[in-house]
Amino acid sequence: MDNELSALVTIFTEFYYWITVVLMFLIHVGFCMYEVGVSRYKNHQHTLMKNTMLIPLVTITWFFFGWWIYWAFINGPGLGTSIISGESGMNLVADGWGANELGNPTGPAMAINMGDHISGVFWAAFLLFSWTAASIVSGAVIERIRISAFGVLAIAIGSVFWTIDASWGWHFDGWMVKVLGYHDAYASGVIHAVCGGFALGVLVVLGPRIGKFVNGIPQNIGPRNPWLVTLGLFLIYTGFWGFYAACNIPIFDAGADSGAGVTYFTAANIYASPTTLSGVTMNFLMSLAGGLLAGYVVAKGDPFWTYSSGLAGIICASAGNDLYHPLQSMVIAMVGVVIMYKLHYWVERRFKIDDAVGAVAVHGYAGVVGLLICGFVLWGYPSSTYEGYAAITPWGMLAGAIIMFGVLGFLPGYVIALILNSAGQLRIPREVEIAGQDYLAMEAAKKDEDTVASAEQ
Amino acid sequence: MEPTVTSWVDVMVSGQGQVYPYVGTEIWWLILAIVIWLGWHVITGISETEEHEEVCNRAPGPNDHKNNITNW
Repeated sequence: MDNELSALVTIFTEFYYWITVVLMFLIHVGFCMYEVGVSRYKNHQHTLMKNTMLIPLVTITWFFFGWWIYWAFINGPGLGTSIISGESGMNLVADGWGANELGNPTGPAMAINMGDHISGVFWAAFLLFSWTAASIVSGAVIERIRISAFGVLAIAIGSVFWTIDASWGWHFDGWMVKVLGYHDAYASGVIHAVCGGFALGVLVVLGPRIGKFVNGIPQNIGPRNPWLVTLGLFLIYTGFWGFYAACNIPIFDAGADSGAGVTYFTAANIYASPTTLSGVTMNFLMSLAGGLLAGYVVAKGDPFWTYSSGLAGIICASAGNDLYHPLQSMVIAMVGVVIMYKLHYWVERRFKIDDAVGAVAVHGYAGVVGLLICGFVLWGYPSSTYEGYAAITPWGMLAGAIIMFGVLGFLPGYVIALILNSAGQLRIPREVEIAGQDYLAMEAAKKDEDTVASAEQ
Repeated sequence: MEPTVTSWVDVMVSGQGQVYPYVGTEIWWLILAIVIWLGWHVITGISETEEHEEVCNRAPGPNDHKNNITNW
């Protein structure tokens, strides 16, 4: 950086993403509080540790291979042709944008580098998305999964499968954007649908908690601590702001980049297409409002589902929240919430699926509905500023939803859970589930208390 | 072994990027980190199984944990 203006743009961008990472950390704090609030007393500590330990596991594997996958798989491989390199195979070396150039864990871009102020914070922003991905699955499986099994599943969704879908459909050079006209600005599909699908695949194999279904009838378990759940969801809302910010490029000359022959500085979405943070902020709040309004009605004022519906509303509108009118965001959020709520209870009754926190519904169903609605509302919009990309269509978005929820979500979740289950490594023993996962820890704490009390007398 | 940076003036003049210690040994750090990662899975898996076996052997009832709620 040898002049003040370029230095200002670069360091502002570096700081911008740095702040988004800090904000997104609140998502994880919220998820921890939320899960502990929903779980029963005898499982609190293990529930907390399950969600906490995904942080280091996903972080190191994201460093080892997750970030590399994001840059390597943009062509499928074999499903599209990169506009950078002209290749249709793995995107390994591509004029500074290849996996080996940006994501090789032994390469110069993956460390403090005085010539690169962006790679690290961009890596970190995506890592926080990865934590969220794993954390979404975490809530669904509480109180009966082995922590060691969940560690494997967290890495699979957090550092492999969501990364592949992001490479395909959440990258300016991704094949789904070019070929299908896939548009998913704030990740209805690439985070939420894929994780909802993955969670459902795991739940099918894992089975319900003991006592969840009595004579085939679902019973309500918890939440034990609604205040912790409330705080957790408010923190997730707050962190979601950071997530929305992290999905943008704050200062970008879209005119020069697209070859339009004009200078057009703007904020841009993940596809390098113009948007405004100002308008996106309105849409975020209006979709939150729509979700809360609809959730309060369909759930008859139940706080747990009302808060979750606020989240589901944002998730449903997220695919097109870079372009929608705020009133469209509100209505789309309401539609998504009604569908996801009804679908949650229908699936629970019909298939005996015990989704402890409603993660499959809030993230999976709302995400899928959001993609489908986006296909109709943005029908005919260009998916990119670059030449030759397919326009947004309902069938392109339907194909995208199937890929996200089914191919990269449900299928891997189901298969990996099946393998872990066949090795006896997926679910805790029945005796432990009945006694509580924290039984030994609680017993030890009680002994300590008694010993200290005796000494005090 | 000489430090990677011996003069910040030289770094700025030459446009040197990598400034961390032991540049060129990254692959060995990566191998070490992967061994630690995989070892962590093995250790935690074994310890979790042992913990479960202990609880199974004693088979406490669904309300027994309530006797162990502390009043610190």
